[in-house]
Amino acid sequence: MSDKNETLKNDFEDSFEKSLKSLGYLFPSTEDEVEAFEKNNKIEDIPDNYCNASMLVSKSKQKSISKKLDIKTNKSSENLARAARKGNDIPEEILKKMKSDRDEAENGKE
Amino acid sequence: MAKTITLKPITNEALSDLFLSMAMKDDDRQEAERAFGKFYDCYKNYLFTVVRNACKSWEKYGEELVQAVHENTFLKVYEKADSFMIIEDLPFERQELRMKAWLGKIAQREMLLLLREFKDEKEKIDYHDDLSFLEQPEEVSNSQTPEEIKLVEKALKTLSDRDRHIVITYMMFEDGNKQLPKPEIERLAEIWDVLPDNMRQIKKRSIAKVKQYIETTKNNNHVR
Repeated sequence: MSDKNETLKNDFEDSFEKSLKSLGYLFPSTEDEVEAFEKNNKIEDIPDNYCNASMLVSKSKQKSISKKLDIKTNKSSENLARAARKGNDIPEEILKKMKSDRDEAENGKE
Repeated sequence: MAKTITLKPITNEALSDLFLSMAMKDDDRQEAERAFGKFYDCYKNYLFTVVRNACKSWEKYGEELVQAVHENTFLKVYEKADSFMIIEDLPFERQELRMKAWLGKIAQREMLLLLREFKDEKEKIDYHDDLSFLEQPEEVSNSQTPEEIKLVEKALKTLSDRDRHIVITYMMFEDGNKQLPKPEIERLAEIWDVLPDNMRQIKKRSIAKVKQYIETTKNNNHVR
């Protein structure tokens, strides 16, 4: 039997999975499962040390700031590298390659 | 003992307004953040309870994992608020259930992403990056009776801690044709001191045991 076939769930496993979601062992992800989850579990207060909404938004802004800083840092290291080559210009081909490598690295971080 | 709390209900229109304000954050950031604050206050406890329960199998990462999933899920809602479609004709109770189901899908994805980040061998964790599920129509699901759900809970209790943990971990990761990633199999093998090759067998046997328990109990009840 192929790996793919092995992981395809049968009817019982589907229904078992739904029950696990309703009981809260897995994330409830349909209306029925949410409804059953709320019947089977007491909703609790979040701990005091959790962020409030405005702290969360600030945190996410800081993340995007640090990302920009990373990019700036890359730019300044490029300038330093240029300085280390005693100000000689970089050939066009190498510049293109550097740019494509940098784009690739930055996109990979997403 | 868990404290029972009551979430303050909001109306259909208000929920729709909150999503609209969050979706238009580029036009009015202050209003979007105010809407996010209200949304967060309404659903923070629900999501905390969902995440804390679902993360029980990953207790070794401690409270940090629960908190990170909780935070990332809310931030994703704020970022992708335009993906949630309010169906105007739907009664508020159903609208809210749909929205909570949507939160659950996001939270699961965020948890799998975080588990991948906690690993040394990131590339071996199988997960999907695409967020297309956010815009997919609601899955049609067959309702289960409360009795059936309770029966599954009883059946789960007949399993050993090891078998229950292994089954739940498989179910969390497997979705369609996806498989449990190798690092997770190795983690389970280390925790329970079993060979990684035996893991799938344990899962199969455990599910068969649950099935057997349910069928036997149903038959016995039917005979009576």
